[in-house]
Amino acid sequence: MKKVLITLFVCLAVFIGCTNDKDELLNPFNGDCTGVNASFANDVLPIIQANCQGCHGAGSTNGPGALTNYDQIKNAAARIKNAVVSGYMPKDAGPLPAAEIRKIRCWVDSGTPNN
Amino acid sequence: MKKILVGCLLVLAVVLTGNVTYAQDQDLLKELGSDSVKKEHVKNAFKSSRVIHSHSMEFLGKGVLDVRILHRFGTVDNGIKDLFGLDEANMRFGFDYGLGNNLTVGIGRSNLNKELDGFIKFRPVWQSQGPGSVPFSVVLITGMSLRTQDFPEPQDVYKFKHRLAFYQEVIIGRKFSEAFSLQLNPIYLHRNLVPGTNDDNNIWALGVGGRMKLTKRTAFVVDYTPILSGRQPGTKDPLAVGFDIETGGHVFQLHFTNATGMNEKAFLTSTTSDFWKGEIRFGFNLSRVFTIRKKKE
Repeated sequence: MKKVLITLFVCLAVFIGCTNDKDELLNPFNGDCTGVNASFANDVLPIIQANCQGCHGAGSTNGPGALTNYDQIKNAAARIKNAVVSGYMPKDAGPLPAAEIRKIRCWVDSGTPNN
Repeated sequence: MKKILVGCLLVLAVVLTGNVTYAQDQDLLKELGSDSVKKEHVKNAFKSSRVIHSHSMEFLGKGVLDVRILHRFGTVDNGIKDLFGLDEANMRFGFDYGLGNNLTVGIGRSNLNKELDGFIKFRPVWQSQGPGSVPFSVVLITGMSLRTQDFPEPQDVYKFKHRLAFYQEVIIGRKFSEAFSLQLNPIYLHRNLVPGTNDDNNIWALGVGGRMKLTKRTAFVVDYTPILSGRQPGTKDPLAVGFDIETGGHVFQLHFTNATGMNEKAFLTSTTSDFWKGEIRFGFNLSRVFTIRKKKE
């Protein structure tokens, strides 16, 4: 029984199907936002709701404070862009996927439209 | 800070040496008393199957289900304004089950990245005392995590494999005395997808976990996992210190940590808070065990 367990364990431990992919290479971005349709309502707000509102919910005093509506997010846009592009935010949750960073970056660079 | 660390290591070394002597004395005294001493496995090296965030050398009994609820709150440095971080919470709930005394499986789900995780934990060597005893335990763990949160557009560049990360871990630990246990747990983590072009898909870390019993029901625990190579840029080594409190079938682990992640992939790759700069979070692990299958008489 013990031998069977050890064999099973080793088989599971030697996993198959590992890859060494890089998100930046899957989503190459040269800084050109042409063709990136970054919408506040459809892209930016859902990303912020999913990743930021744990710490930046209503009444938050962390960093730029609450990020729950357009005005708050617009006022903090430059800080948000810097934080997510550098990977500093979301705090303790790892950098956002490259495509999400690009949406935020392009939305800020296009003048934070309420679209 | 280095001085404090060196001091701590020295204290640890002194305690450790003393306890080795103590353990040997205990063994010799036991052997004097009886001619028919039997080999006995050493139990309760840790109160829980986790030190704090890392796996411990401790196992569930056969047929025992451990329901685990874990919370990590926001950093305490904002003070009373957000009740020392209690306004923000991340959680993981999980179910561990002892298939045998040396084999445990578990699954869990964290809200961070909506991650599922699972593991198999096996103990080929169990510390024992008496004739033919082994002075330490060796535990092997293999596990994986699965991101269930949707990837952003364009989603077609992402495959299922990009949601996965794997880890392999070995724990070498010893219960030196009733009061003191120490373990080393090297971990290898592989992420199928990393954010940056220069980020390493493979991470090596060497965990150190210790437990010092304070009273019959409480213990002081330390869990530190320095990352040796492949560090995700900007991340820090996860460190947690706290207390285990045992009350009947429950074990409460109350602690302070810089890590929000509650599975291996999360705490090794996402800890950006710096413990030594006061970016500390309060957290707790709540463990409740249920005996599902009773032992045969």
